[in-house]
Amino acid sequence: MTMFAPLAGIWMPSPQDLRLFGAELSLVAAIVALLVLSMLFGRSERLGAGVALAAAVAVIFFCRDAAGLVDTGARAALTPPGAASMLVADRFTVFFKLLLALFLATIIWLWMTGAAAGRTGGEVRPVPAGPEFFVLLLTSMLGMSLMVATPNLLVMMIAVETASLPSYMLAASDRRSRAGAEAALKYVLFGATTAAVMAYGLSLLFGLFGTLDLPAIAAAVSVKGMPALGWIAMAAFLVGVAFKISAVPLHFWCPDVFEGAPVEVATWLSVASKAAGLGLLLRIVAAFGGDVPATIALPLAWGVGLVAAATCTLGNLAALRQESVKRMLAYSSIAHAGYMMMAAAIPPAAAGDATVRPAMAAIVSYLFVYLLMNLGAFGVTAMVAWSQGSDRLAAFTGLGRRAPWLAVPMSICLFSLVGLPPLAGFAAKWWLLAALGQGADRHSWLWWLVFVAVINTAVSLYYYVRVIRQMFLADDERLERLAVPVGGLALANGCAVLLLLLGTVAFGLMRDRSLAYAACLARAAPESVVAAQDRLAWNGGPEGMVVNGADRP
Amino acid sequence: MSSLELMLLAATVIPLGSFLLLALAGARLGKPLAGWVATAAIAASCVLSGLVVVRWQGMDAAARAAARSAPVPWTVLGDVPLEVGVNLDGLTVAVFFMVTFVSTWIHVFSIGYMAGHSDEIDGRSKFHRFFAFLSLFCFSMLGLVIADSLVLTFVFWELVGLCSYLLIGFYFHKPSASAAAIKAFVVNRVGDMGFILGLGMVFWFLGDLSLAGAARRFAEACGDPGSALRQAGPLGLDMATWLGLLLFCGAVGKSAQFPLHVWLPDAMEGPTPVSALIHAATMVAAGVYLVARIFVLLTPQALLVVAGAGCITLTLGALVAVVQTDIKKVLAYSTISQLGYMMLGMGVGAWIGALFHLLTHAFFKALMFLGSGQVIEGCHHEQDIRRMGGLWRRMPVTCATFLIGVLAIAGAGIPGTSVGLGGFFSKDEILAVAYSRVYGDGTHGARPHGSAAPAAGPWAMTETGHRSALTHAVPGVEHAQASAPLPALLFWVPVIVAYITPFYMMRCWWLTFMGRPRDDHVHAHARESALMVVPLVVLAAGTLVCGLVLFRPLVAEVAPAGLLAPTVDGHELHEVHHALMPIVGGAFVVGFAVAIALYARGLSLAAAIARRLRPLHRLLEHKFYFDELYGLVLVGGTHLLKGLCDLFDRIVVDGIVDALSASTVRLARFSGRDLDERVVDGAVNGVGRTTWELGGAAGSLQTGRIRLYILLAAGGVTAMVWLALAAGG
Repeated sequence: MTMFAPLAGIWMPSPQDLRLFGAELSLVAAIVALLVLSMLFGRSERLGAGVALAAAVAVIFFCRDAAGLVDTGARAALTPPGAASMLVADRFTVFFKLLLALFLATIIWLWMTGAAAGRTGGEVRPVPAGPEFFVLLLTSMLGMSLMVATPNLLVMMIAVETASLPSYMLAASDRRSRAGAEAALKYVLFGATTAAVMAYGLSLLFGLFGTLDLPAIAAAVSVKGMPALGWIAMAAFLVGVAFKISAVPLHFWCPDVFEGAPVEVATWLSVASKAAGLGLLLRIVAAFGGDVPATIALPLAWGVGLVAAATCTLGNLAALRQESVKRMLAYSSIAHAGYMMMAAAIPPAAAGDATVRPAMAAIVSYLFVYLLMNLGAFGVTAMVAWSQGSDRLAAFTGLGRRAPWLAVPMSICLFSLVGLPPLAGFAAKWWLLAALGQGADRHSWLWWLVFVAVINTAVSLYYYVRVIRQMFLADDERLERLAVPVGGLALANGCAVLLLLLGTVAFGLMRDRSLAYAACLARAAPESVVAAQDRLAWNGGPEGMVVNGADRP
Repeated sequence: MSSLELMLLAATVIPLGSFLLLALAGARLGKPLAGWVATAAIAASCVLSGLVVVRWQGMDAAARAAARSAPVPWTVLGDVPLEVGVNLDGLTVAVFFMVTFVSTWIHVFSIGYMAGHSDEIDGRSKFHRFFAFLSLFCFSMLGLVIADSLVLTFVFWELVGLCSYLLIGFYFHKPSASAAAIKAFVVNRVGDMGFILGLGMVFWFLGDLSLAGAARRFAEACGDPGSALRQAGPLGLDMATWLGLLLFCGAVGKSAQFPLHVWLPDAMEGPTPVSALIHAATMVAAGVYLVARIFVLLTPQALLVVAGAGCITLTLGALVAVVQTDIKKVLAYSTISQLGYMMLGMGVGAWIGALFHLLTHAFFKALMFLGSGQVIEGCHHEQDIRRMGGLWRRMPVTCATFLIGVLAIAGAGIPGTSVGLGGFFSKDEILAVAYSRVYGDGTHGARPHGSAAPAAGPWAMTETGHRSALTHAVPGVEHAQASAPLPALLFWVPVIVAYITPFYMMRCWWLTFMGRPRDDHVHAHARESALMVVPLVVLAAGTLVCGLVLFRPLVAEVAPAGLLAPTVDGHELHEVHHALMPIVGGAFVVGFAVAIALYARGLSLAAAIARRLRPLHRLLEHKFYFDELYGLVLVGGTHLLKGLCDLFDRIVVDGIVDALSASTVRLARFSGRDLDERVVDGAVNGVGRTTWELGGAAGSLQTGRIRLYILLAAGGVTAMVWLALAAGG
């Protein structure tokens, strides 16, 4: 066995580290299993759905396991000792993975409902078919899990691409649809361009700072200052992130893709892609918090704030006149990405700063609530589109009478999207605005963001309520009752009930949980900066650097 | 959570489950199954709470204190944490059992009652709706009983108000029922406005919304002369007094105290079981329960207001009841009067007596209301007692049980012994404390409870610090209050009313059941329903025993000490009771005798007296003209204000608007469609349309389009970077 002797010296991650990344590993295993099983047993859709569902459950299990480990102080980085982290596991990561996995499971649920409806309904509806649909779904999930789990620029790039490439194909998964193919092509061209710009930014950053580790770059910047070229590099780098969030002005792909893609895919992209992108953005913003001087942190915050304001304004205005509900929801998802980015624009003052925590907590809880309300709204839209063959506003006419169990949850989800009490959407938006207001004590320009958010909320009321009006106030006696699959009813009403509960009885619970998750990010960021500074010193960086205020565990 | 708390919680949630079931699938369950579902739910709650009572009785003070666990954090309002928990103590256990027990039997009664009523509206049965509302009410009321924070109390407070509204207006197609429901709701809003302002003051000044925490903070703040609570407020009362008074406003509305008592008689439009459950036994007593819970937040001045309101209410109610001819209205006014006694008791510091009276009253008043329901149902919806009479032959059980209720409310008992019915003990205890506060040497009120009664309840165990702080903190206030006896009216008026109470109750009973039948048609059809008789018998039995054995000790152990503790312990009470004997001991005999003498030969004698006393009779018949007064002043005032606003709107606002619009039209004409399109459409639609086009709805698969996207994206990013650097850097 002498030929393996050199391998003995190679670093291997410890079993505990592997346990912390069980979620990703189980995704990979499921992807391989799907490919192999479909070769062995033929192209069975049910088999694909079953394996994918099992993978989602496994991810949830491993995330819970990892959450326990992380709580006891374990922090894994799949990296040899001394080197910069490639992947990290902290509660923040675990939260996003859990969120994605839960969402993945509901998407598969939605797919199964649709497939059942397609089989029984007689009318042929476009079902994204075959095991490859699930392979692609799981692969994009893998990419998104990686996006939220890395402080390394190169891994970020790989993760973004791993998430994007399957998404392009998912958009075209209904091969008979011309609109789907068109959407996918637009998506891929747009994505390729942003990927190129992002890679360019990355290479510039690497060239400038000699490291791919984001905290190390932040540390270097806080010591040496940011060169002019650095700004361009950062901007180019953030373009890639903004593409995933579909932030203005990189949102152009979003409405086309949502309209052309099958509804499961649109739902998936509307939440998962944004969640992962926001997770990535938060990690970047947090890395540039802490000891980074204001001359660098402030323009960054300004940039994020500006994009956020533009995103939510444009999203809302464009949604006003949409006749397709799916497309309206696409623009609404752009607007909501804007709301969430606003809180990311609050500049952190110092390490362990108290104002960061409410902001992060607000985003975390907003994401969770947004998942529920978007899932409910898209789910009902899908149900209507399947039975009516159209997702135009006219298809919702008289839904209050024709399918009350769809119309009521739809209204709850839409009101929650507006942010009306007593729904969870209100609580989430309230915390977001409260965090902004708190941040505005130090940075008064944040009041402008509050202003923009409030005005936009008022604007958004119009197009959400338009759907509700169509469902309850417009009716046509000739229209018959809708046959709705039970699974879809469960999904929509489940979302609505959760929104009601989270907005009333359980909002304390939601707040505490999201504060706990946010605390990890706020804590993790300075900590990684510290580690990076240690490495910088070890690499021959400036000597005698003092790290103050860092919150060492 | 201790097992006792879990049991109470479960007993609270079970009716909610029943409500959900009936709301979603009640129509399918149909009649009478829907009613039995609700009954089974509340019966399960009753069994659970009965178990809690039994276990509670078997525990010593330490075990009781240990059974209460820390509240669970709910959320944070600003800096004030909001916590929820079960307020487990003797009072909760007693009231909880009373509510579930009375509710259970009223549910049973309701099934019989609703069976004979047309419940179809628009051709669809509303039977299940009735029981769904009853279940919702039970959940809300039980939640109110176990709530341990003012916020939770308020939430359930509003929920019971909603249920009351829904049930008063159950026959909403009847204009009178609909109007009564609205009246009850609006009048209660007035009181709740005060309640929520009081909550705001608690939030602002005390910063703790839990009952125990607020009490602790209140004691600390009162002990500190510099605290904001000791500052003078409007009308020369300090802020602490205002805090208590505003909270008391809620109780004034809910318990139908003067001047917000006008809604309760109208609430009799609801089905009779609802009157028994909500508007006699439980919800209206919630105001007294609230005052008991916030007793430690009431300063001596505030308590004087409470006593005054109670005193006026009990007089008003009793006097009006004398001339009422609708059997339910008599009972309604007697309820108002009895609630007045309870409030008076709270006000003079008869904390135990008032709650004791609450519990006994719940039994005998529910009993009498159900009896009246039986009568009304049996007589084909005849409610006028002048047309009844001689019903005892047709309804012997109802007649006997009703009489037990009459004896109980009259305070019948054998003076000098411990033989008597509910009111004999509870009402007389209130009077005894009032007597000692008026004529006593003033030490009664000030003595710390702990020294007078060695039996320390859970409150004492958990709130020792609070209690000592309270007695310690306000010595000055306490002393001043203790040395100043209360006005003698607060004793003599209730005593006089204690003579009127037996009179009007005996009048009601006699006219209904005794004498000759005055209407043959009514009499001929009268009959008793078997299903409705059982609850009557059970509640009558409860009325017979509950006064003595069950409730007083449970309530007594929780009594807060300090400020104005009742502190008339068993022995002392006995003495005062004896002393009162010559004054009120024979009241019920006198009242009964006068009533029988007047009505033994029918209505003619009474009618002659009424003619003689025409002005007084009219005044009472019109209920002191409160409805007319409020109609004139409040409703009329609102209309006047509306008219003024209308004029202002038409002359001033419309003038401005017209002028503006005229000039706008000019301007628009002047500028022409061109500018209009560019400005308005440009600002709103244009952005949308531009984005629409940029978003590319109709975009076909052309590389030109995508190139445009990418071009725009590149331009946008450049602009953003430039802006961010320019502004932030």
